[in-house]
Amino acid sequence: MTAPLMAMSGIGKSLGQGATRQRVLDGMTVDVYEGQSMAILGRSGSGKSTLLSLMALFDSPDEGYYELDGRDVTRVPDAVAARLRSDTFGFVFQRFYLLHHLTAEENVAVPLLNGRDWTPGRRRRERARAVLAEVGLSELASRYPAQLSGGEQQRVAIARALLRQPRLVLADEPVGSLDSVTGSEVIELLRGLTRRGCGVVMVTHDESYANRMDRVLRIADGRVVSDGTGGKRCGR
Amino acid sequence: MRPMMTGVRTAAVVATQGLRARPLRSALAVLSLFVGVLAITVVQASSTVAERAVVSQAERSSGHAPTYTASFSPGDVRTVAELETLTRGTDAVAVVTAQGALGDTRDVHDGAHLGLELMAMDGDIRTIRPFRVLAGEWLTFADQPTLAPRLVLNESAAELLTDREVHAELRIGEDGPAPTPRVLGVVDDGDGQPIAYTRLDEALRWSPALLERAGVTVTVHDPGSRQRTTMAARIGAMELGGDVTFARTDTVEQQADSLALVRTLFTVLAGVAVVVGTLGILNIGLATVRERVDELALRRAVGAGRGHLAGIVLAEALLVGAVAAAAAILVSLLATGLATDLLYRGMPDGAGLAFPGAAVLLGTGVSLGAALLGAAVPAWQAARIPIARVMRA
Repeated sequence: MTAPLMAMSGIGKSLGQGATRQRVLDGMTVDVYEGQSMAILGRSGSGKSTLLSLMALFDSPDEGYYELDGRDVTRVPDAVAARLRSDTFGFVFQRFYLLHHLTAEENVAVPLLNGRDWTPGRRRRERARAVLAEVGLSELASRYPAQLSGGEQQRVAIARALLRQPRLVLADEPVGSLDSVTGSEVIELLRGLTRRGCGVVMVTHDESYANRMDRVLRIADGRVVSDGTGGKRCGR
Repeated sequence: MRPMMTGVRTAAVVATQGLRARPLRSALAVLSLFVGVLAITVVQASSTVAERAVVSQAERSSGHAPTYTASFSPGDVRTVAELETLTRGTDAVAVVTAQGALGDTRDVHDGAHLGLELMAMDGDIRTIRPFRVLAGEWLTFADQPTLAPRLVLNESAAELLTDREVHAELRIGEDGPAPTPRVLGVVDDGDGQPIAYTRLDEALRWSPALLERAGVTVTVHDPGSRQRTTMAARIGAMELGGDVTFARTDTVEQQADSLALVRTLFTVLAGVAVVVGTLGILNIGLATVRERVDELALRRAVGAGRGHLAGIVLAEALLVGAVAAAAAILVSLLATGLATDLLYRGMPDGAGLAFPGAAVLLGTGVSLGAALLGAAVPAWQAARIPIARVMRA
C-alpha cells in the first residue's frame, strides 16, 4: 500500500481564551491518500472544520504530529505553510469566495497571482480557460460572479482549486449553499477529481453527500467515531 | 532578486485589479494625494523659475554675485592712463557715465532728440552683467575703434528711439562734434532708464575731455579678494581722500534670500496639504483592507505569504501615488508654463525658465513616499488577516 499523502496522529486543538477556551479536537488520528475521496462527517461544532483548517496548514495543532508527503509539518513557519498550500492543496469553500470584481476566468487565475511564480497574463488566461472547460464552464469565462448561478459559482471555485494541479482538494461544506440537484452535480464533479489522481477531503454535515465519497470519517466532540467506506462505517 | 521581482509583478497585477474594481475609491485616493503633490510641485517649480528670473534680472542690473564697485567723482580719474593703472592685471571694467543725447539738441521741439546716459566702457561689462541681446549684436572690444561710434541701446532707449524720428547725431555733453553713431543692437540690461553703451576709446575720440567731467565706476566680479585688494591699494595711492572704496552689491543675494523665504513658507503650506493627503490614503487604505478582508484571506489560503498581501496594498498605494504624481506634474507643468509666459514674457530660453527637473523628481518622490507612508498601516493590517476567515467556523 502506498504511503498516505497526509498523516495526522494524536492531534489536539483548543480554541478560545480563558474561561471560553474549549477543546475542539482531542487526539485525532487521520490518514489521507492521493486519489481517494473522503468525507469528514459531523454535526455542527464537532470539530470537522477545525480539522480541515489544520490539514490546510491554516493553523497548527496544540499537540500531536502532522506529516505531509513524508515531511513533518506539525509546526512550520508561515512562509513554508503558504508554499506548501500553494504546491499541494486546492480549496473549495462553502461561500465560494469568488471575487466579485473579477470575471470567472480571472477568479480561476487567482492562485497564479500568489507571488510565488510569474505567469504572463496570456498564459494565465489560457490555463484558467482550460480548467473552466474541465468543469464545463468555458462559455462563461468572461462573466462576473453576480452573473452566475450558485452551482456555476461553485464550479468556478472548483476550477480555481484545480488550477495549480493540486494533489489534494480540501472542500469545506462545498454544497452547503446549493440546492440538492446542484449539490449533487458538485459532488460528482469532486468525485471525478479522484480519477485524475487528485485526492478530495470534503467536510459536510449531510450524510447523503458524505456517503457518495470513497471513505467517510465520522467525528463527534473532536474525536473520530468511525472511519469506513461510503455508506459502510466501522466503529472505533 | 528573481523571487522579489515575481512578487512585485504579481502584486502589481493584483493591485491594478483592485484599483479597477473600485474606481470611485481609487479616484478619491488619487485626488487625496494630487492636491498636496500639486502644491509641492507648483511651489518648487514656480519658485525655482521665479528665482532664476529674478536673479537673472538682478544680475543684469547689478552683476554676478559677488560684484564690487568703486565709484569715482568727476575729475578723480582724469586720463585713460590713470584708469589703466588702476585696473591693470585685473578683470575689472571701468565705465565712464556721461549724459548724452541722440538727435539735434539744438532743436527745442518735442521729440527732436532724446536724452540718455552714455556708458563708455574700457572692457566688456557683459562678463559681469550678463545683458541679454534682444536684437543685433553686442559691442566687440578686440578690434580697432571706429570713427563712427558704435552704440548698443538698452530696451528703454530703443523704445524711445522707435517712437521718435531724430537726427542721426550723438552728442556727449553740451558741446563738441556730433558724430553719426552706428547702432549695433539692443540689449536688456535690467535698467529702466534709457542708456547707450559704447566703447570708451570710441567715445574719447569725440569727447577727449570726457573723463574730466564724467563719473567713473570700476566694477569687478571678485569671488576672492585679491583683485579688489590690489585695486584698493592703487586707489589709496591716488590720494583721493579716502572717499572711494569698493562696495559689494548684494542685490542678487538679497533677492534670492527673499525668494527662499517665500519658498519655505509655501513649501510648509504645501507640506500640510501632503500630510492631509497621506492621512486620506491611510483612511481609504484602512477602509479598503476592511472591505477586502475575505479576498486577502482567500489569497493567503491559495498560497500568498503575509508579505505578499502587504505588498499588494503597498503596490496599490504606489500606483495611486504614481497617477497622482503624473497628474500633479502635468497640471503643474501647464500652470507654471502659463505663469512664466505671462510674467516673464520675452525671457530667453537660456534663462533657465524651463520647468525644473527637480520639481518632477520632488513631486514624484513626495507622492510615492506619501502613498507608501499612508499605506503602511493598512499593509500591516492586511498581513495580519487571519487566514481561517475563509472557513465557515
